[in-house]
Amino acid sequence: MTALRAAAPPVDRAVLERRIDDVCRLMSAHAGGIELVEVSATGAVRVRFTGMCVGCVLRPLTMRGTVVPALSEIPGVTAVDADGTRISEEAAARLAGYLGAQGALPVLEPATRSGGRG
Amino acid sequence: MIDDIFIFDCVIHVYDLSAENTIPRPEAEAGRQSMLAIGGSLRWPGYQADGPRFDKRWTVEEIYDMVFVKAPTDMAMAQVVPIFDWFEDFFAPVAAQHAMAQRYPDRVLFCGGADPVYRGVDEALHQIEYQIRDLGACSMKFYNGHTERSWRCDDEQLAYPMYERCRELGVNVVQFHKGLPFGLQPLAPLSPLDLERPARDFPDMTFIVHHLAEPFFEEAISLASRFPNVYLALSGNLNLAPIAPRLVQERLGRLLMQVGVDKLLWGSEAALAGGPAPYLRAFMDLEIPEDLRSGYGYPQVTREDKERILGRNFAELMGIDLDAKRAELSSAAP
Repeated sequence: MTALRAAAPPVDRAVLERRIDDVCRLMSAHAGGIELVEVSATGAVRVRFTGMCVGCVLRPLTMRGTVVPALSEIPGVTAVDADGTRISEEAAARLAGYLGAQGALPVLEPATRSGGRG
Repeated sequence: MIDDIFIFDCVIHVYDLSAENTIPRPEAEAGRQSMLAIGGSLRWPGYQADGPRFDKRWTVEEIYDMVFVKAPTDMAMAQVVPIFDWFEDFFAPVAAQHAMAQRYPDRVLFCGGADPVYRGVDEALHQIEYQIRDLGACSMKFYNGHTERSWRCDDEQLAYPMYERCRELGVNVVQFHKGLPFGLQPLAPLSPLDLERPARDFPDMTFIVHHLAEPFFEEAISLASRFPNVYLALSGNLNLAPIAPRLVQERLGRLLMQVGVDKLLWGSEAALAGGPAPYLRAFMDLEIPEDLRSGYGYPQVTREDKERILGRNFAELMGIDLDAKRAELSSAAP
């Protein structure tokens, strides 16, 4: 999977964390949320699902429908990743078709990110 | 190495399946035979026809030949199997695993084993201390399922003191045989769900569940996808690739999707499951077919996935720099 953007300014961590809080307020309707794990020097953001979203089979949908669109608007964010969200290209394309342009944003897959484990 | 991928096998055993090590009781012999049967079911048919005998006390040289000479393994962990139900000196004795690590220190790590109901908690704690401090164990293996005296991994009187002792001694990776009952052992204690509370209560420790806890695969998936400190060892599971590739593809696809590749570990179960060479080749050739990708959303397994599963993940858990180790082994090669 490719990055969201090729070149980007550094991510403002405070802005990112505020946006994550916004996403969490949305996800609290499902008694779940996300938390920030790390931001790489290249703008790759890694988050972790929390609450009722932990281990949920619908994480790929939440990721592409809610998390990625929200976080990718932040300047400097080049990719977004979380465990339990990796799906096939076929499924990603199908999901993007249903979600529309927002859902078409690519997600950095765990297998292709650089560096050690998150 | 296979296709230039470093192989770090997270579980091999220097077994003692000899008649001499079997307690002289009919149920013990039946237990020994059930273990031999489980091993046989994981091996290639050719192994069973022409291969070595398995009902014996293996030597470290034989295991080395099977794992490192006849297969492209680079490193492995020799694990104690503290099954006392049928054996005088465990199924895979402490001394034999330690001897393997002593004999091949550049390639083999020693994983100890203890049991809190065998001779009581105090003796188990003593064994943990002895095996870590004096024998250099860098992990501990636990088998809570027994024919009569099973215990729970979330028992605060029996199990928690062992985890605490490991942690005090600097060992933060503990491992569990889950699923895969030996013969007529009760299955229920082998569910991995009794690891939920330990994983929650010891967040700084890593809990490895072996065998995908089969037949508790769903439970294993749930556990590993909810707890960041629970890893899954595909010990023996990938050996089915040449026999039932579809089953392995389904399992692997689900694991990649819901658990994540970072928490999956390769384990051969040699010697009982035979030499790992054919299973490694079958895994390298394995792909997730189009109908599973499209119909279930399972991602394709990549070369990087295979590299992580076959060695990099376990090396990171054990604090081994793979690049440095690769160079070390290369310079030591004749």
